[in-house]
Amino acid sequence: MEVRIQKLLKKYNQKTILDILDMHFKEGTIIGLLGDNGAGKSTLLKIISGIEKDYEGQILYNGYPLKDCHKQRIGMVSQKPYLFKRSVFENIEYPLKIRKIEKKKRKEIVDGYLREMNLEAIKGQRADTLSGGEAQKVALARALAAAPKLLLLDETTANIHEEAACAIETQLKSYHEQMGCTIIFVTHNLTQAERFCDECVWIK
Amino acid sequence: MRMEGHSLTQQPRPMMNELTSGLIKALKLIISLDPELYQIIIRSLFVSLSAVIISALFCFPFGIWLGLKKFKGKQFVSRLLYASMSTPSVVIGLVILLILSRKGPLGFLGLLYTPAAMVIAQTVLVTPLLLGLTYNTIKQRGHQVQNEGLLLGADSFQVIILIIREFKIDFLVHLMTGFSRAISEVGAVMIVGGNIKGTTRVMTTSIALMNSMGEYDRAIALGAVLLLISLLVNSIVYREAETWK
Ligand SMILES: Nc1ncnc2c1ncn2[C@@H]1O[C@H](COP(=O)(O)OP(=O)(O)OP(=O)(O)O)[C@@H](O)[C@H]1O
Ligand SMILES: [Mg+2]
Repeated sequence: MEVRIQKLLKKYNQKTILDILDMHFKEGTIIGLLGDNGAGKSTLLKIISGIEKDYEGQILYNGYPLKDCHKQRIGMVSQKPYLFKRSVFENIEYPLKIRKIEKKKRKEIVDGYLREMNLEAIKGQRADTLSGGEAQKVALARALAAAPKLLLLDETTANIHEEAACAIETQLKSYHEQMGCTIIFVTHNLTQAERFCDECVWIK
Repeated sequence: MRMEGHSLTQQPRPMMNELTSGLIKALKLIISLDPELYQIIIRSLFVSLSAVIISALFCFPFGIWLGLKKFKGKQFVSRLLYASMSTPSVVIGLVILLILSRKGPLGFLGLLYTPAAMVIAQTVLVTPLLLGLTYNTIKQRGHQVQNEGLLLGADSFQVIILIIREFKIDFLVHLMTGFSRAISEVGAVMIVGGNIKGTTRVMTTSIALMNSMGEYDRAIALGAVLLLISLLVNSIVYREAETWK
């Protein structure tokens, strides 16, 4: 999915957080989003994802304003993801369940992600008891299970061990190739950005 | 110490004796399966449970919606809600009485002095409480769940279901709070039910009646049963909450 931001202005209590004249995320690219703490990266992702609606300006998805059919294809892992008070398995299964995918198929897909992300050992564990890194992996698996065409990742590998982070990058790459999706990837790690992203965008 | 010479009218009876004999009598009543007693207990449970369930069917979805929605005057609505949580039950009883009385707007239904009237009064009584508690829970912690649900592609109905599942322990405790308020109040059921033997007499109204007639041990017996039910409900709910945690 292609995203175009036009004349975006976002304020919190009179204070301008984001002021973007024009920004373009090409279809099928992996874009690194960089910037200082408090620059507004998370805010920008929330706006693009559609959960933050209070802003001025326009965002176009494949040339159109946000529609329900777009919402179904946008996935996001927030900086502090919220996992449901259910098992890891049920968390990853949730987006499939609400899309009415049949049980056998759901199990197949979820098991696939559990294996890829190395989460099999904790698949029965309650998700609100996981460690920070584990939680982020589960949140990522859950977002991927919904098969998004636009994936917004907010420092998703920040709490994850270097080696495991590389493994996740590899998986994301292969998902990206398979789906031809657009990924916007917030990170503070420059080497990671260089290694993983096609291009980088700095915000003030 | 005995307080002789204190009571001039009747033979002196220290409070303690009253209590123990009441408790013994309570046990006897419970074991003897006294039909009137059981009828009263079952009626109490039925009236208060129905009221809480009816109220919850409205309060949970509406409270969730209210907690998530941003609108002008939200502050005012929440103050109003908190203030109305402590409305005295007699006031509610009076209002419902006026509405259901023969000349009132709903007088044609002929519901006054029936269990239905008591259910209505208690529903009205617990609604601000349930709504306020639900609203407060969701206002503080609901957005996160809502956002996550929306991000994963849930529609509004699925978001509400998701929130009810995520906060089921809180909701169960709210339900119990509402039930406790309903089953322990006298004012509303007394006024709209009339404490008629065999049809609208419930535990609290019988206790009030027995007390005014000087039948302290039966009053204590019923009081003990009421206490027992509260304890039982509480322990069941908390045990459930523990296993869900
Ligand atoms: N709900 C809010 N109300 C008021 N101010 C907010 C709110 N949310 C964010 N801000 C402010 O907006 C600015 C941008 O926040 P944001 O979370 O987007 O930063 P960020 O670039 O993601 O930072 P970090 O790298 O630390 O995650 C911050 O100064 C923050 O304090
Ligand atoms: Mg951030």
